[in-house]
Amino acid sequence: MIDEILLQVEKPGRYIGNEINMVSKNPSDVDIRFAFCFPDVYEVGMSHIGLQILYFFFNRRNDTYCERVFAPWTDMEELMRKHNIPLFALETGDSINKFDFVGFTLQYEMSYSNIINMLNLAGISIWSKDRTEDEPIIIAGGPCAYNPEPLADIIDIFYIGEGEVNYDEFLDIYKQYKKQGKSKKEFFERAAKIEGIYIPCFYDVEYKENGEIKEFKRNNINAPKKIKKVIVKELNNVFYPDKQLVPLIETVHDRVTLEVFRGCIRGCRFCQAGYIYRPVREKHSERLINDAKSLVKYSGHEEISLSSLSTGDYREFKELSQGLLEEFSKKNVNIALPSLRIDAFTLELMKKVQEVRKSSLTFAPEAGTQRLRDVINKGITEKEILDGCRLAFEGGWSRVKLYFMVGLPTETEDDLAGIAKLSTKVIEEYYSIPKEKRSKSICVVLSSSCFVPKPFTPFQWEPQDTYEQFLKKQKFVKANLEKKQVKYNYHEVQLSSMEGVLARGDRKVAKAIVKAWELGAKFDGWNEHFKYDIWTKAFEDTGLSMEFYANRKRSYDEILPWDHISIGISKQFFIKEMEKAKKGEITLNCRTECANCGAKCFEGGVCYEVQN
Amino acid sequence: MKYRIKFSKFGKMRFIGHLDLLNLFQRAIKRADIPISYSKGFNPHQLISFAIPLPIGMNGYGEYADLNIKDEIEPEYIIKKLNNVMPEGICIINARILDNNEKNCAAALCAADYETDLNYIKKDFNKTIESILFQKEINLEKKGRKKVRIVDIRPLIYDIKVSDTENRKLKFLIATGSKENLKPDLLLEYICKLLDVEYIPYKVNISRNELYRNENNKFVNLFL
Ligand code: SF4
Repeated sequence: MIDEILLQVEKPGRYIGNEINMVSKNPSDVDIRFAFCFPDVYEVGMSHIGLQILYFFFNRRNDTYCERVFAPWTDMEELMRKHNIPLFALETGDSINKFDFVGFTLQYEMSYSNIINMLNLAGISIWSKDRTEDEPIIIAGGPCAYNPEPLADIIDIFYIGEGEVNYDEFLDIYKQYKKQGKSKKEFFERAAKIEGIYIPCFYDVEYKENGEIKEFKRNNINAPKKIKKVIVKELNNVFYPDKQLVPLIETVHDRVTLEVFRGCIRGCRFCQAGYIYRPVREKHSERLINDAKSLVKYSGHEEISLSSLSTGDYREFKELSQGLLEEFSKKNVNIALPSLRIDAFTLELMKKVQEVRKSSLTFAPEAGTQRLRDVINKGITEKEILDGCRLAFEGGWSRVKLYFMVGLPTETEDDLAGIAKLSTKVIEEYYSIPKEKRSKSICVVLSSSCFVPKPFTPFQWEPQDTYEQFLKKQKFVKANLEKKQVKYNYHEVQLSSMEGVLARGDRKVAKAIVKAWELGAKFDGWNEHFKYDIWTKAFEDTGLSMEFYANRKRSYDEILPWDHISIGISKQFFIKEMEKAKKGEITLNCRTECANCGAKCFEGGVCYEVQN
Repeated sequence: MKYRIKFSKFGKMRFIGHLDLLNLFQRAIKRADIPISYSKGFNPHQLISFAIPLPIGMNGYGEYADLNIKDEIEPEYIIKKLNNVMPEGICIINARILDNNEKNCAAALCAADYETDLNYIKKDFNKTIESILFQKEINLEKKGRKKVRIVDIRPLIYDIKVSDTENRKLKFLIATGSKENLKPDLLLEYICKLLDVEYIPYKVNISRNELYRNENNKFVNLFL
C-alpha cells in the first residue's frame, strides 16, 4: 500500500528514510523511542544543523532510538488520511503514537499549525490535558521555546536551552521511572527539578480584565519559580557528530556544516538570537578543521559552510579559513563563506573560494539612517558600507545586496527615504571609480523585511506596525528610489504581521492556533499555503484580538507571558537598552566592553575571555 | 582511464530520481575515495555519465554508468569500495575497463529489456499480448508541446511475450536510447486500451532488466 501511495506523490524520496549514515537499531533492543519531529517539509528540516546534532547525540545512547519525522507535504497528507496511514517515523516506518517521546523543534512561529496537524495525523490528542498514559510525552525545544506560552496547553514539557546539557539526565530518569511503572505525573514532577525543564501544567495564569496577565503562579511545589535556560559552558569538549545524515534527494543545503561558535557579541536590539544564545562561546579552529575532515569523509559532500550568527567575529577566523582552504582546495571541496565585513583580507579570501563574476556581496545595514542604526545598535556606518562596495567593485564584483527592515521603533519618513538614498550612494560610488578599474556593470538588490518585535529583546514592549502601515512604508521606499539599477524586493507583510502576533502570544493564543488549524491552516511559512484570512477568522472565532498581541505598547511593569523563563539576562538590562535606544545611544559589543547584561552567570564564554 | 560499471537500483531507491542518483554517486565516489577525474573550469564536476535515466518508480537491474578515473585501478576494487558506501538498494554488480575506441554507454545504447506485471487488471491477456507482434503497424497519438503527432510504435517493439500467465507478467524488448526510444508507459497504455481497461501507472511494478547495444545487428548487453 505505502509503495502505491509513494508512486502518486511528488518527491517520494521525502518519505523513505534510508539516507547515508542513518542510524539503524532494533526497536525491541531499546528502552526509549524518541520521534524527533521537524514541523516543516523534509528538505527544510534536513538542512537544519540542530537536527543533525541531536539525532546523533540521542542515538549515541544504546538505550534510545531517535527517529525522524517531517511534516508530510499536502499531497502525501491527503493520501495518508484517505488510506488511514498514521504519521510514521522514517527509520522504521512505525507509527509514532506509541513512542515514548514525540519531540518538536520550534524554529519559527509560523510552523505552529503544522505541529497541531502532525499530532492529529499521528492520532495523538492535541491538548495536553486530554492525553492518556498510553500516549507519548510531547516535548519541545528550540528558539521559539523561549516564549513557550502559545503552545503551553499543547506541549507537555519544554526544554529551555542547549540539548547537550541535560538530555542525558532527563532520559536516564525517564528510563528509571518507566521501568518502575510510574505515572506520567510522577515523572513530570521529577523532571521539573532538572534545570531548563518547564512543565506548563504546573503553573496557572490569571488575567486582568484588560487581558494582561494578573498573576503567574506555581500550582506544584516540585516546579521551580523560574526556569533558567541551560547552555554548554565549554564548546570544545562537547559532543559534535563526526558524520552527517546525507539525504538522497536535494534539500535546501546539501553540505557539511561547521558550528564555529554559539551566541553573538553584537547586541543588535531587534535580534532575539543575539540575546537568547548569550554568551558567545567559541570552538578552537583545530577542532573545527578536524571535525570538517571527518564530516567530509563520511558524507562525501563537496561544500563546507560555516554556521554562526556573525561568523566574521570569530577570533580565529584567519586560522580557520586558511586551514580549511589548505586542507580542501585540492580535494574539490568548496568553502561557502558567510556574509562578512568587507576588507582586503575577506575580499582576497572570497576570490579564492567563489567565482567573482557570479557572486554578490551582501550588506545588512537594516536601517536607512545612522540615527536609526544607532537606535537598533547595528554597528555599521555608511562609510564602511561604501568603502566595502568600492573595494568590491574594484575587485570585479558587480552585484550588491542590501538588507533593511521597515517598521523599526522610532522610525520616521527620513529613515525610510534613507534606504533609497543609500542605494543611490552605492551606485554613485560605482560611477566614481574610473571605468577601467571597476566591474563591467552594476546592480543593487534592495530587500526590506517587516520588523517583528520579539521576546527577550529590548524591543519586547514595542508595538508592531499594522498591516496597513507596513504597506504604506514599502510604497514610500519604492517611490523614493531614483536609480534604475536598483531592484527592490519586499517581504510578505501578512506573514510578518501574523508572526508578530504569535511571537509575543500568551496561553490564550493556543485556542486560536488550534482553531486556525481546524479552518485549514498548515505550512504557513510557505506563501503558497499561508492564508491570512484563516488566521483573522480564527482569532475572531476564539474572541481574541490580534492587535492586543502585536500592535499594543506594553509598559515595563506588565507581567510578560515569558517572564518565568530566564535567559540569564536581566529585565533591568533590557529596560536600560530600550531607554538608550530611544536616545540613540549605542552599546558596545561584548569584546570591546562588557555591558553587564547578566549572562556572566553562566560562568563561561566571552564574559571570561581575557580582554585585550 | 575509463571504466564501465553495471549496477542495480531497487527497493526504496526506486523512489529516487535521476539527478538525485547522480549526486548520490558523486558523494559515494568521494566517500569511497576513488580517484575520479574532474572537468576543467571554475566549477569542476566529476566525470561520470549514465546510459539513460531510470524513471522514478522503476526497479533497474542492469543499469550502467561510465567513470573517468585518474589512475589505473582494479575493477574489483571499485566494486568493493563503492558497495561499502552505497545505501541499501544500490548495488554495483560489475565493472570493467573500457577500450579507447568504445562508445560511451549513452551513445552505444539502443534497446532495453523490461518486465512488468499487469496484475491489477484481472483479465486474461495472453492472446492480446501475443497479437502485438503480428500487427504491421501500431499508430498512436503522441502529444507534443504544440500538436498531436501520429507515431507508429510497432518498429520499436523488438519482442514481447507473456512470462507468467498466473500473475499476468510480461516481458518486452524495445528501442531505447537517443536515436529511437519507446517509453514503456506508452506501450502499456496501448495494451490496456486493447484490453479495454484503464492504465493506472502506480498499480504496476516495472523493472528494467538489461540495456543493449547493437553489434552487427545483434543485441549485446552494454557490459560485454
Ligand atoms: S555579561 Fe558582558 S560579556 Fe557577557 S554576554 Fe553580557 S554583555 Fe557580553
